[in-house]
Amino acid sequence: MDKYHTTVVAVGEMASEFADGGILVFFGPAAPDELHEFAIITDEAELIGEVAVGDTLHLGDATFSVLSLGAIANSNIAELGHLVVKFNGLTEPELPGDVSVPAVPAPRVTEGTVVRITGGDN
Amino acid sequence: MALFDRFKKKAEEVTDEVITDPGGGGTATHSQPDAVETTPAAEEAAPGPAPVDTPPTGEFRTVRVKPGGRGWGTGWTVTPEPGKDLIYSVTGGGIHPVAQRIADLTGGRAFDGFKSKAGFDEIAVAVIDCGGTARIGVYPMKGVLTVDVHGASPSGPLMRFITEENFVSGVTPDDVELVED
Repeated sequence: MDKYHTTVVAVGEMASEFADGGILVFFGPAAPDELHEFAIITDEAELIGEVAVGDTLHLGDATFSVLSLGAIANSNIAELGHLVVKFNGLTEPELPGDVSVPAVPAPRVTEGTVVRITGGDN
Repeated sequence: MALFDRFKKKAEEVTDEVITDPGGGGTATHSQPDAVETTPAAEEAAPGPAPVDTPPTGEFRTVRVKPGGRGWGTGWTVTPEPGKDLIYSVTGGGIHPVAQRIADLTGGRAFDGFKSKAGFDEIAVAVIDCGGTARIGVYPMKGVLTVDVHGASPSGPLMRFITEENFVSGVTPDDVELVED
């Protein structure tokens, strides 16, 4: 079962600038307008299970292994739909909100892209 | 935290018990003369910053916000003004205690940015709980004084907007103090 499953509803104008820097910033629909500019807004969704190292992040058809995550990453997702994905290949989180995946180019996400996090075995 | 409460309920399938009052309310009984309970003198306030009288409505006071132990920046003073009095909390879990403390001391209005909308010109100071990448630069970019309750240093694509004049981090309620005239 998916630990987290949501769909992109909007992509901010500045989101590509973050993506060029290897960062995708997601927020749920309650995010104030000023955050929409750089964020990828997703549907309201519940965090069913705590994200852990070894889980898989799915962005559309692309998959990325979760290498590390910071101390506030799970509460950010649960409370704000706020997920900060860094394509930096780090096995120790740089910042407490980070979810780190391998250092590959950040994929393009668009309206309708499905965002999922599944347990390590899936 | 709400997430784990949901977790627990799924595992245990706890059903809420509704306790009904067997006595039922209704019959008025002759009330006894007030038995005044004498409380211990000066009930101890909870540990933490000493409570302060909030200024009367319309009157604003100045606070100094300084960086926390591991925070970034040198801090500054904040004084709300009429029409620019929102202490704008953009944090998980509603209005953050730091935002509430600033509001209580200054007379500004604590405001939950995830529940309602406000114009930037109405914001005296924004309080965020940013791990350090996204929200950290947005409010400085908009010219809004920004307090981060996490000890974050400027980073991310918006870091060029962050200066000591508009950003301070690692702030706890103890790092907010009233500036006496």
